Amino acid sequence: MVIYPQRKGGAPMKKRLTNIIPTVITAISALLFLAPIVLILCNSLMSTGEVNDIYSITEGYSPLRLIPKITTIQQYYRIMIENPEYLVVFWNSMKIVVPIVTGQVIFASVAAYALSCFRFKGRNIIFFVYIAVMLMPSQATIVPNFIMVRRLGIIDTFYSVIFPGIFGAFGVVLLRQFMIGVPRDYIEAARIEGAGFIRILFKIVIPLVKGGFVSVIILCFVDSWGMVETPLVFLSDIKMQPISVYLSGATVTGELFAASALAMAVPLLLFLIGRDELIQGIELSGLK
Amino acid sequence: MSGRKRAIKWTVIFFTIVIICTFASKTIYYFTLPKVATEKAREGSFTETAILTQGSIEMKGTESYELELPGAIKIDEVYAKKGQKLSAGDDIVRFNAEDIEEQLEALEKQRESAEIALLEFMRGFNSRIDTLRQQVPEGVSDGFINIKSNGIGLITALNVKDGDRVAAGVKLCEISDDKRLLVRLPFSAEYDIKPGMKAEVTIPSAMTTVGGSVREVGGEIALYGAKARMVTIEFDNPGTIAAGGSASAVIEGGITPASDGWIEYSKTTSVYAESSGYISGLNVSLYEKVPAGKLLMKIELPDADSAKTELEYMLSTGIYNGRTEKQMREQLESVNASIEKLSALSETGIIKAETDCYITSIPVRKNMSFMGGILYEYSIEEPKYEVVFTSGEMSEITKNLKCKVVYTINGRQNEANGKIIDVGIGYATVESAKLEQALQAQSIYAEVTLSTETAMYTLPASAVIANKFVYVLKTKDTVLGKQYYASLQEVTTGRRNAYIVEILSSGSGYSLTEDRVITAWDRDLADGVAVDIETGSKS
Repeated sequence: MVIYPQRKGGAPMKKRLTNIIPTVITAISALLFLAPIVLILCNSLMSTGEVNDIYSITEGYSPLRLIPKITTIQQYYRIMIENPEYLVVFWNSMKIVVPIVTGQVIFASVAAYALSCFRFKGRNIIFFVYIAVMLMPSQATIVPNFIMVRRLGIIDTFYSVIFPGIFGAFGVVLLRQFMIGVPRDYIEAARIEGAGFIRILFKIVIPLVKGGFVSVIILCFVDSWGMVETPLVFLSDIKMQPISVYLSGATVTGELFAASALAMAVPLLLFLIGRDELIQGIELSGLK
Repeated sequence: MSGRKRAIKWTVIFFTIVIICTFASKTIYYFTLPKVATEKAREGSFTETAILTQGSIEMKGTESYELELPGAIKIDEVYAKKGQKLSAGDDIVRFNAEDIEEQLEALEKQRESAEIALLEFMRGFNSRIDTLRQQVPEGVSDGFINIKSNGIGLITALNVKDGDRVAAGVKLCEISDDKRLLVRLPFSAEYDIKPGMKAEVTIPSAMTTVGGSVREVGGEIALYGAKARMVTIEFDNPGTIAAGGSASAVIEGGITPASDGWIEYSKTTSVYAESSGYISGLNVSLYEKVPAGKLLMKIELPDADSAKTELEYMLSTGIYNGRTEKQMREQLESVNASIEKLSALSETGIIKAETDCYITSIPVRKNMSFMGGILYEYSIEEPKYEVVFTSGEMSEITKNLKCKVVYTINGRQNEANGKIIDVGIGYATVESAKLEQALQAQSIYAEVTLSTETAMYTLPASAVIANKFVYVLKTKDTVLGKQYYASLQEVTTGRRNAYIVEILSSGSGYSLTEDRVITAWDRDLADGVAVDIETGSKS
């Protein structure tokens, strides 16, 4: 018989070890995930010269340095005051992402409402198709999308990126999962009271799945904010590039960390606003 | 505050900052871009010029109408204007008639004064010349006058010694001809003695007798209560006989004198001082035998040099008391001319043009009092201006070259075209018809065009760096739209001057016919730097 040492008032040592190991693993994982963000934030406070010194090494690996020799906001000054290019592409991203998110929320809410609250023939097949489309990588759909937007004559305009984004399948699937959870009695009662479908959607369904909408907004925003291939292919005019494309092709090392921090700030702020709903939505949908 | 509210607050702050920075950064960015001026390469000409300086301008063929007046005459009317073309007889100025009469009287007095002054001048001038000539006799050299013997003979009297002061006319010495002796003897008037009669002269001191002849028979004189004649007998051959001793003579026929006489030299000449001075360099002694022309002595003339200088000056210049006869006569003529003019004026009081002419200057105006001098200036032909330049790059200047005359009046620069009409050693003359204003110019120079050659492609000199590079304006698409930037390109240059440079060829990055070149910039440029076009077409 093995006797485990026991602390007064505490759990047995074996149980404590069982708790500690996942905690440590989680902590290490969190650190690993946080490392790039920390690196970006720390390096963004270095001078451009220092950054160039560190990352201009052509042989071997650059040393990982987190503590600036001199803490400065020179990079932020450069990208926000001295050179307007970063802010221009920032607003380009906003011009693309905001319509996409808005449109997707509108269309996804209607589609999800139909798929969840109405019983009609082929409903499951349609939902399956949505699932299939959602699972397809964006690189696979980019060619037919390109052909379509060119036929529509909107190539090299923001619409060429916005329209394919609006009609994404992810939002529909996510909202359907939320709307399925809405009690049928509420909807039946409203119908008995004489409410129409639209009224039921806005007055009963949407208020009940508010968390789902927040999740859709955040996840759709993050997805659109970081997309590269679609604007790269559809927007040949360099002055229409979003920040994601601009950063991927940027060559000025000394300012990239601050630019990355700037690009990171919006999704982060959005996450902080809808953090609770997002977690709830992810838990409910089991996605992402 | 809940976490969501805090996040919303930070989101608002973030976007506010981003919006402000967006506007600010665009403004700052375009403000900090180098502003540049651009232009395309174009055909240009290289003009070789030479600069002429130190010019003095005058109107060609301009003459002055002068009126000498003893006092002011009021001008009642001025009819002519500057630049006006007049015909002979046209009215120019009308004077006040009463003033003219008064001035005529004054002019008459001036004429009398001028005539008197001329006479006094001539008198004084001639008097002074005579005085000086006396002070400077002929033969004066370096302040000395040489005294030479005027014949062969003995110095029989020497009245001076070195250092003696002598006055003009003083006898300095006597020279006697020792080859010719004579004796003067009194003969009774009863004898008929005639010149040429032979005689025998007895010299007791020499105990000898020599032949002689009567040379002169004097008038009757009283001698010892009887009448007698002084007869001069000249020795035929005196030999060694000297003057001073006593002698007697018997004239042919046995005529004997009443008494003995003294042997004298037949011919004695005196040497006088020609000018007052000091004896210097006495070269003879008493009873020395001297040849003709021998320097006997010198007389030092202390005032001769200054007198000679003054004499020469007066004779060459005609100046006496600071004036010349010519001046005096011109003054008189001027007064006479004024009288003549005023007399002619006295009837109408109007000055008329004497010939067809252009009025080039008329400094008088109505109601002013004219004091005399230039009444107006005129030119017979259409006035032209000549500028004589005496400094600058004249080596390549030739006649008929075109030039640009640049003159400054009160700090403002003006230009007129002209051409070279005359070139000489140290000067070049430019003629131009448009230089009226230049008469008042503070400075004037000419830029002469020596030659002009054209070049197919030229750029402003300011655009070419180190005679080899230019910044070509290029465009590229950026996030901010179409962006201009400077691209450093190499070119081959040819001729150049201070303003333009000839471009012979360029590399592939610069099309001479298409691309625009940055010709001026307000801050440092570098290859690839974004720029903002300030002047010049953006196309």
